Amino acid sequence: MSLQTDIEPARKLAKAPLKVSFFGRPSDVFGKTTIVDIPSEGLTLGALRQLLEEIRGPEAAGALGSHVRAIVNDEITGADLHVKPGQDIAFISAVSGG
Amino acid sequence: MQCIARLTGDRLIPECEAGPLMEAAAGAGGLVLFTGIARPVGKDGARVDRLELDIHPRLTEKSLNDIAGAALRRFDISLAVAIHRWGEVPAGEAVVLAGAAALHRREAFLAADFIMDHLKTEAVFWKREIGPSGTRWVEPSERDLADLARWKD
Repeated sequence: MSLQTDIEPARKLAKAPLKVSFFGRPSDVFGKTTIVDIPSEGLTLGALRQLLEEIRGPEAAGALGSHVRAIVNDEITGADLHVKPGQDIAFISAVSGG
Repeated sequence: MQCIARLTGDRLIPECEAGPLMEAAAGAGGLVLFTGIARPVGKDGARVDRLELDIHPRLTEKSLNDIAGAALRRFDISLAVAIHRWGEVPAGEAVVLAGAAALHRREAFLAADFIMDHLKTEAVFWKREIGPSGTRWVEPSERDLADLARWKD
């Protein structure tokens, strides 16, 4: 067994913390911020939504659905981007000033 | 051309803001200032004691600048104003001041209207009404979205 083969499964299992913020309606369910362990190679926003809802429990089902946009590194997005530990992630409901 | 766009966590007092804005409008033929006030009742008629406005640490102020900047580019105005309060705002107090100065009144009125329609739907705030019957998130209404659509080219 090569060294590379030994390391690869461990690397895939490695986790790293990701800080996630919530603004608007999602904050009612998740609070203002949470820290979640994600795969060190990152994951998609869709997978992150699912992971957060699962961790929070049944009350969170659908709370981060497609109506909830994300902020990734200060850009609001509805796309299913790949995110990594260390990035600044937030989930937000509709914005409204005035 | 000048853009005055900022957040304030303190009480927003339109009559105190008006003086400096008049100075900033020097050379214009008119200054339009709209004051948005926290309503004492919600859409369902329930009493509202206060608004609570949450902000993003970087994107909220940027959104005010973006909206005021868009008005400056679109209209023949010399000054665009978007001053917005955040945090807790008791009913009856000012939430926002939006305005524009121009050589002629029509452009100033249009620009102020443009700024308010965009603040309602694109400014990065999360707003909720708080009253005796509980809290309610306030999000753009169909009317707000229709108002915004008027400006789409």
